[in-house]
This record gives sequence, structure tokens and C-alpha cells, in this order.
Amino acid sequence: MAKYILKRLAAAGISMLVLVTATFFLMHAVPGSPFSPGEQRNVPPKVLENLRSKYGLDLPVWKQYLNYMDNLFHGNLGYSFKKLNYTVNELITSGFPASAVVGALAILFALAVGIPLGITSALKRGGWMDWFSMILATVGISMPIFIIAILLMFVFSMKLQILPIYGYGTASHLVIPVICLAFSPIAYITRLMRSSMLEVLRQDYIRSTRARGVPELMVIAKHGVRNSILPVVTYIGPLIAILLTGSFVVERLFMIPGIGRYFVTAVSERDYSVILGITIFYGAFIMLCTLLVDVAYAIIDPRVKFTD
Amino acid sequence: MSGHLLEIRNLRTAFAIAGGVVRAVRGIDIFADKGEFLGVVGESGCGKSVTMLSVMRLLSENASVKADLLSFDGMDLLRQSPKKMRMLLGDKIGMIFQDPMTNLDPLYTIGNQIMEPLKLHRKMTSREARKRAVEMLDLVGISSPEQRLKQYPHEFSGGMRQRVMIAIAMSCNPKLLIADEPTTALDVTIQAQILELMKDMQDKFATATLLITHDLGVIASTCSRVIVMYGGLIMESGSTEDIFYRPEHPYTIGLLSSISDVGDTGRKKLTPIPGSPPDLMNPPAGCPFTARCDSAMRICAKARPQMTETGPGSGHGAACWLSEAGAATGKAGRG
Repeated sequence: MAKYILKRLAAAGISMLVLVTATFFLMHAVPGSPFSPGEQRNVPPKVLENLRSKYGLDLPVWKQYLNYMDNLFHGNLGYSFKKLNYTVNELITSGFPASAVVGALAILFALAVGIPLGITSALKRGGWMDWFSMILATVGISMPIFIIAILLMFVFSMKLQILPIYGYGTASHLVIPVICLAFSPIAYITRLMRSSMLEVLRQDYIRSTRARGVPELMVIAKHGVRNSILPVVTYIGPLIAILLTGSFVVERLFMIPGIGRYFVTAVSERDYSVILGITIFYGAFIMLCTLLVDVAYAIIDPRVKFTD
Repeated sequence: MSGHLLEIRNLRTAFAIAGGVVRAVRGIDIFADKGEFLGVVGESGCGKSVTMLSVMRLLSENASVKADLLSFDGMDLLRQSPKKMRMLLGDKIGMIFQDPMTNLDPLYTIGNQIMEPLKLHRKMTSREARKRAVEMLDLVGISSPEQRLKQYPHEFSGGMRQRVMIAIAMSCNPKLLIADEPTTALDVTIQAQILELMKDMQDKFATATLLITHDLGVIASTCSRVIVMYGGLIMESGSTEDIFYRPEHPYTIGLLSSISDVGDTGRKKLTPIPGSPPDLMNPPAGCPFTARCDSAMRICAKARPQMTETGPGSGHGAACWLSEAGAATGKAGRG
């Protein structure tokens, strides 16, 4: 297992290298640059030239790339081109906590609602719970997040006036963003859990377990859930990465000081170092989560064997 | 209550499905005595498994089960609460199913699954249950049981898994063991070993065993009494000797002539029964075998024959108009 994890980490390193390189050159291939005259209309050309040479943008691209990689290997993501005197490392460390809190709560909420809802709809197939979850799933999958956000803001902040409309700091600020973020994951998890549970309930070993007099609750909780949870685990891996590293839309809508917000502004401002830094962070996070999912697989299912 | 360990009277099981009702079992009587090895034989879909699952209440929700009497060990099963029923299963009644590959939960160790009913029914601690599990594995012929306990089902072969299933079923020392096609999914040499083991278990624990199979060969080598089912009804029942050497019902005769014989030089042709079993959505009014029967008479299609004993107290009977006619005229069955 340890050997397997090391191997996976090495593979992840190579993927990272590809990711960084591709992002770097694609970014530079796009016309325009942070300090091109088209971007900064009111700045004298001489100043722009100085700025370019300060950030090393006057060098050939391959040279810039080597410089960047050199810094990267020292754990230094460089200075932001647009936020004066901020390093990218600082931006990430200042933005990540807020993103992570909202994201983690959303994941917990999605699991806490989706799994039980999926199980009950499978057990009471065709019942009102099943219909309810089906409707919820359709809505959750098809409705864009900003519509849900506006609806929730309208109901809870404007009509009922029980929750703040935006901002960050207290627990009540978190409620609407967390529900928004969790909405479509709940829908997916419910459907995944339901279909997988229905499949498992048809299996012979479930009948055999019942034939041994095991109480129904234990049949479901011990044998049913563990056998049917794998599809959900597969889905949770990338979901963790997406939600923890911040949702661009939700962070913008609710003014949450997370990294998602920085990423959106960085792209529109062509803040090269921030774009690269957040891409790297995001990529590393996804790779880590995928690895965790694979390890979780082996823990849940003894038939999964790692080939070292 | 009756003196039999298990008694089923006039059991009827039907399934509501899209497009109608399937009458899988249409009124059958079965009893089993303490320590007896009883075989229930019939082709696929004749209702043999459904009968047992009905008694155990293990059928899906679209099934309706009715009976005049269902008793086990002096208890009226029709009146037991689901909880009481559950307490009985795995404790007083053990079950083994057809496919050992799919009947063990792949995610738990064998040990965990053997210990489950022990902890549940016998209130054993983990340590006691583990000790008993080791004993049981040893008893069913699995070597180095302590190590094997920690292994998962996929680390066992088919035959070994069926041994594990038997160990689980026997672990609480049941009074009745129901084995539903326990050897069908196994190859022939393993089949013999498993049957041997079941015989052995029955001797050791004095358990009544009810063996459900479509294989007459399996019946011949194990059972003392046989029930032949067809189309949701019992066609014939009697001692194994009666059924094999003095079959009454044309269906039984057909079944017997359609099995091959190892000692056979190849000159004897196998005689299959032509046609296919009746549609249980619209079961025939008379004997369900009429359409395939060589000796069918006009009455066979109209009215269902009653179970008629070949002689008073013989314990051998057939539900056939031929036997009834024979009994009425004093002839001992069919020539």
C-alpha cells in the first residue's frame, strides 16, 4: 500500500509538470499581457516597459518558463502582477480558509442529506420519499447555481429577513452559500445512492443475511450501505476538490473572501502568476483527492488490490 | 398442533406482477419430521423454492402467502410477529442457498459472517463466537480455520464457500436445515463432497434437512423421503424407494426416464418430457401435467385429482386420476 501511494505520488508529480507547462504556454499564447498598452490605456509606455522588466516579462518566454519553474521548485509562486506587494502564496493562504470552510460544510451537508435520502428512496421505492427525491434531483441537476442562490436570497434574506444576504464572518452568513453549493451534489448523491442501493438489495447475500435472522436495520446499515457506497465515494473525490478550492460563482455572489474570487479576477486581469498559482493549487488538490478516493476504495472493498 | 417438526397445509403463494397474478404455489401439503432427510424435486419454476421462502417469509413484497396451517416445532408460524419470525431464522431454521459465489457478502470476512448469527441469536461475545466459528469451520472440513476466518469470500473456491454457508447455517444448531439447490452451482466431485457433508451434519446435529433440488441423482444419494412438485402442486410423494422403483405419477415416471445412467452403455436413449411447464398466470383447471402427459384422459383437463395413497398407511401417494381409478378398482396403481 505504501509503495502504491508513493508510486501514485510520483505519477501525480509528472501530471503536475504537464499541467504547469501547458497552462504556462497557453496563457502566454493568448494575445495581450498584464502590461500591454491595450490593457493599461492611461499609463505611459515607458512605465509599462519598466513594469514588464520588473516582472521579467521582457525575457523570452522559454526563459520566463525556466525562471518560473525554478521558483516553483522552491515553493515560491511569485508576486501577483496586479495586487501590489502580494505574493501568490499569500493570496492562497488568505483565501483558502474561507473557501475550505464553506466547501467542507457543503460536502458534509450534501452527504448528510443525500445518503439517507438515497437509501430511503431505494427502500420505499415508488413512495412519496422516492418521488420527492426524484424531483429534487431533477431540479438540482438542471437548475444553475445562481438561480438557486437568487431564489434563496429572495426568500430568506428579503422576504423572511432571517439570513444576511451576503458577507462572511458569522455562522448565519454561511447558510445560504452552503445550501447553494450542496444543492446539486445532494441531487447526484441521492440518485447514485438510490440506484446503487436498489442494485445491492437485489443481491443474493442480502436475502441470505435476512435468512440468518439479521434485523432489517442491520441488513441495510451493515451490508447494504457498505456495498452500495462506492459510486458515491467515486463522486466525492473530485467534488471535495471542487468545493474546497472554492466555487467561483458562489464566492462572487455572496462576497466570500475565498480563492475562487481571486481566480476569476486574475483571469480577467491576466494576472499570470495568480492564474498559474491557483491552477497548480487546484490541480494538486484534485490529484490528492483522487488518491484518497482510491485508498478509500481499498478500505471499503477488500477485493480492490493495488498492483505495486 | 401437529406432531411434525414442520407442517404445511394448503399453502398458496401468488405474486402480483404487471399484467396479472402468478400463482406459483397452489395448495400444497408438506410435513417434515425430526432428523429426517426430505427431498423436494421438480423442474425450474415448479414452486419448490417459493414454497420454502413463503414459509420463511423471505419473499418480496408483491407476494401473498396463504395457508391453512404453517407450524414449526409446535409454533404457529402464521401468527408469529415479524420479529419472532426473524429470531427463528438462522437459529432454529438454517438455510443454504444455491449459489455460494453470490450468497456471502463480499465486503466482510468469513469470520464476521459466521459470527453474526451467533452474536445475534446466542448472545455470544466476540470471543465465544470466534471460538465457535473456528469449531464450525473445522467441522465442515476447512483447514487452518483460524487463518481462514480472517479471509474474504473471494479468497475461497466455490466448494469452500458452500462449506462456509453450511457452517453458518449449522452454527446455531438448527432443528431444520433448508437447502435450496445447494449443489447446483458446483461441479460434480464437489457436489458429492457437499452432500456427504450435509449428511454428516444431519447425523451429528439430528437436524431435519429439507433438500430442494431438480436433480434426482442428488435425491437418490441422500433423501429418505421425496416430494415431487409440478406446476405449483405436489404430484407424488413417498419414500425414496417408492419414488424410484414404484413411481405412480406419469410425471415422476417421465422425470426418471429423462436422467442418464453412468453404467449405461449408451444404447438406452434418454426420454425427455416433451412440451413445457404450464403458465402459472393462467394455470389449467385440471392436472397441470395434462398437456404433456401420454396417459392423459378427458377428466385430467377438467378436474384436479386429489392425492391418493397407494395403500392405507403406505405414505406413498400420487395426485393422478390414474391412481385414483386404480385405487377405486382395487388395483395397486398402474401396471
